[in-house]
Amino acid sequence: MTKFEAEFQAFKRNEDTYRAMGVVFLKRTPDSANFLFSVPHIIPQPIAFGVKIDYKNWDAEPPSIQFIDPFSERPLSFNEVKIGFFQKTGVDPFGQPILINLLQQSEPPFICIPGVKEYHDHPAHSGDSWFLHRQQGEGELCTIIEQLYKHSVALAGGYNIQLNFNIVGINPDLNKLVR
Amino acid sequence: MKEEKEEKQLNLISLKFSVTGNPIMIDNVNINQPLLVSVQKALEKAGNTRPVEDYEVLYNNVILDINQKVETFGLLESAVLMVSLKTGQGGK
Repeated sequence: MTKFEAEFQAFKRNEDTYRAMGVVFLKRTPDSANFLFSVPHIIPQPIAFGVKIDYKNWDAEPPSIQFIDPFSERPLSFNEVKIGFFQKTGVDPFGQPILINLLQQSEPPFICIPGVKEYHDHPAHSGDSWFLHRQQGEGELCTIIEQLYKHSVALAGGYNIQLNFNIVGINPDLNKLVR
Repeated sequence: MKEEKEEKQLNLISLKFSVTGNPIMIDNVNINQPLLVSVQKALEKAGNTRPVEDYEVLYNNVILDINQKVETFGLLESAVLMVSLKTGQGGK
């Protein structure tokens, strides 16, 4: 059994638990798996995002997380991920965003936490090698799923609605007709 | 004597923990004990070797202070608590 297969089987054993949290397994390849994250506690239940978690070269390297359209598998830009990811730091009372875009908001975003390839590859984290975390469980599939859940879905409070309306007329109150 | 025994039984509940997805049932949880005690038992039962300080516990999407007594949280019998690794410091 490959190391990724062991990770995937650990997820499958607990798939019902994760589905109840809104995490739905979509498909897999020999070294990656796609998931859809919904928000079960908001009615009607929205689909927050999809991810492809790629375990190529696991565990010499941590997994890579790519945000995708869960239906077409098209990679999403930062602007297209409509749910925020926040981490409590004790400094900023509103939490620190951990979904980052490198250049422009039209570029692909990445999750900036230890245990994720994009975090350890970033020059700003060159002092925090993946090998300091490799044996700690942080890149494991179930842990990654729970991190994505805790920092986004679990924090979701409701729909953010923006309305644009046009005044098209004045409604008559026919009760006021003089008879 | 009988009343004491009944009172002790009223103070005991079962809690279900999801330890990185693995369902772990802990019976005879004393509601007057800190939740930390049950979390430690759940981690041991799941075979996790990292200290309890490396984990956080969510219930209904809220992170719990596990140093508080179980009764503080108003947990019902067989409530499911998610135990997962704390996230390392991230962001920009």
